[in-house]
Amino acid sequence: MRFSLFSLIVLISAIFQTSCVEYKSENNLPILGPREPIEKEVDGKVVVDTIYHTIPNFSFTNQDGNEVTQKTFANSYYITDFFFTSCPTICPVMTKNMLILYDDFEGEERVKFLSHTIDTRHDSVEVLKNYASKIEVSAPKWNFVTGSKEDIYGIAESYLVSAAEDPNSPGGYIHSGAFVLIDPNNHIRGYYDGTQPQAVEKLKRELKALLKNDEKLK
Amino acid sequence: MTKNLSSLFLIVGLFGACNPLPNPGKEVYVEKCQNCHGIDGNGLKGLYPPLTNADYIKENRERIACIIMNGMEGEIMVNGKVYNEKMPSNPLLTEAEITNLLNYINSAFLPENKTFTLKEVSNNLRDCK
Repeated sequence: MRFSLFSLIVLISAIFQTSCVEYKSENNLPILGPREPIEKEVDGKVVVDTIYHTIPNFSFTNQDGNEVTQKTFANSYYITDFFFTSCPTICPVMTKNMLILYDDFEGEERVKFLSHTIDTRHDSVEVLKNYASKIEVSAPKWNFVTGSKEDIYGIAESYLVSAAEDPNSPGGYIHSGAFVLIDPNNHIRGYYDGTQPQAVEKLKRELKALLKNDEKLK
Repeated sequence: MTKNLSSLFLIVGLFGACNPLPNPGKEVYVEKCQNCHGIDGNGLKGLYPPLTNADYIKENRERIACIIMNGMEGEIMVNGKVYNEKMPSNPLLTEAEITNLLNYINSAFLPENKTFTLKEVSNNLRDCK
């Protein structure tokens, strides 16, 4: 009797714990990045509002030679990363993991992918096209983009990830292995280590929860 | 008796907790090869060729050590599929490391391939083109 009561308590607390974790981490993803309070007048009263960190507009060229801007991702979530095609270290693993997400969200129109090359000298439209076809993916679902070096490194800063030239690194560049999750309002909703299968699974779960939540709000 | 039994369990448990001896070839594989060729040796779609049952490795046995050391460029055909990515060189690997690596690749992905000896690898490396 004592034993079964104890098991019951353990079971109940386990259920509570898992449900709490799920609620916190999946249905309620915060908006990330610096935020600014602004004061404004509503009906004669001063109220404080928050300006969230937002990805600014951008214009890059994808593997088909088409322009990619924020409009390409209108009403969509997108997962973005920074890589280069000749990268010998973490990129192949990131690509492999991104492919898992691409396959999983293949039929979901509200999810897209955006990979920026940081080697704008070598990774031309043609090189990116070749890379995309070899892994059997295509735009507009998954855009591989290039642009001016300043624009690419500038947008990396907006996503709050690192990307820089570094002659001491294998391949000549140093960059974050993060997958960044952006929502339809251009807010950052999550960072996931693109080299770790568990982090990629977490992204999958959390994005599915966000999509489900959006359906409820409709 | 109970005490003896628990000591036995303790000893068995301790042995079980010990990690198996590290495989030196596997360590090199994880560090130098796995990112592209994969933990399973299956490569990545049309980008990086598989090592698993790769006919290319069997048919180019005497060149494989040189490829690991010096990298390779240009089109190759592996198991009926064309690949054309640049493979980086690994000039700092020793002959022993390459031998261990090749034997790890054999054991993990090419079980029918004959074991490489240090002498064989050393001879092959002398003849790199």
